[in-house]
Amino acid sequence: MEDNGIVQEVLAGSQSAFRTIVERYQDRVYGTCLNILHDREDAEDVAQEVFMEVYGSLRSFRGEAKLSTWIYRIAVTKSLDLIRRRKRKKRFAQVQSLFADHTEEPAEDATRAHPGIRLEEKERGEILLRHIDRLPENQRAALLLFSADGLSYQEISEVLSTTVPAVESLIFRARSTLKKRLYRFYREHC
Amino acid sequence: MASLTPHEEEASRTLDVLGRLGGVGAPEDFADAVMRRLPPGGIPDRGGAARGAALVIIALAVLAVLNALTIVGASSRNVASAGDAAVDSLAVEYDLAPRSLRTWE
Repeated sequence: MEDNGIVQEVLAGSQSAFRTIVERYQDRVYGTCLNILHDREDAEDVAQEVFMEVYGSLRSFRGEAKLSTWIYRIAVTKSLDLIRRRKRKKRFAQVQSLFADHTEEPAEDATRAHPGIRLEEKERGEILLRHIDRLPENQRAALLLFSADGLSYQEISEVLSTTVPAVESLIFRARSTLKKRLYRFYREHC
Repeated sequence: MASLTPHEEEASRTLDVLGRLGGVGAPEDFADAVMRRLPPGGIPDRGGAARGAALVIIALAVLAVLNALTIVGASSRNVASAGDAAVDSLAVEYDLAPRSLRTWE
């Protein structure tokens, strides 16, 4: 059944129709969250939040964009929101530690437990993810949606509410920045 | 074609990992977990709630205006009765009819 038909059924009160939406999109949503957050538990929590938001806001979904685009947009926004909240918390903790009498061990970064990275590529994968995290948000999102999630430029432009040339430019800049930084990293560390 | 330096080659191989990040599926019980979290009453009618909130705000604003008008009315009545009392006391003091004082302006 088409997405729009299922949406109408959900709006009519069918929870089993909503289950169809969850099952249809869960892998893509979880994958997108995981690629941005790199942590399985965080990705699962945020992906669940995405579907809760989809359920709660379905009445406001007008069908102008595809359901998949709308869901991807929520997934990207919620994942980036979590990163922003974490950064704010970290900065606050750093400021607090300046005034604290005792010195606490700094919290470890989230475990790099991306299951898509094979064991033999673990170190390389960690280096890559660390460098991806330093890219500007829109470049990071565009690059991951294209390279990891396999979305087209057109689809990414709809998810990020921008134009196709802007997406091309974001991905090009992200890749060239990553290449330069990785080159510099290996020159300094190898 | 110029060959890559070892560092460029490392950077390029690391970038290749990007293409292998996809294809990770959600945990097995993911859909069950989502369905358990759904509100029991179905999709919340956020539009209805917003309309309700707007109506309450309008009602409160109307009440506030009416209240303000009542206060203004009461205070003008108070001023008027205070004026009458002053006229009466002047009339007593100077032995005049209050009416003549009220018309004498």
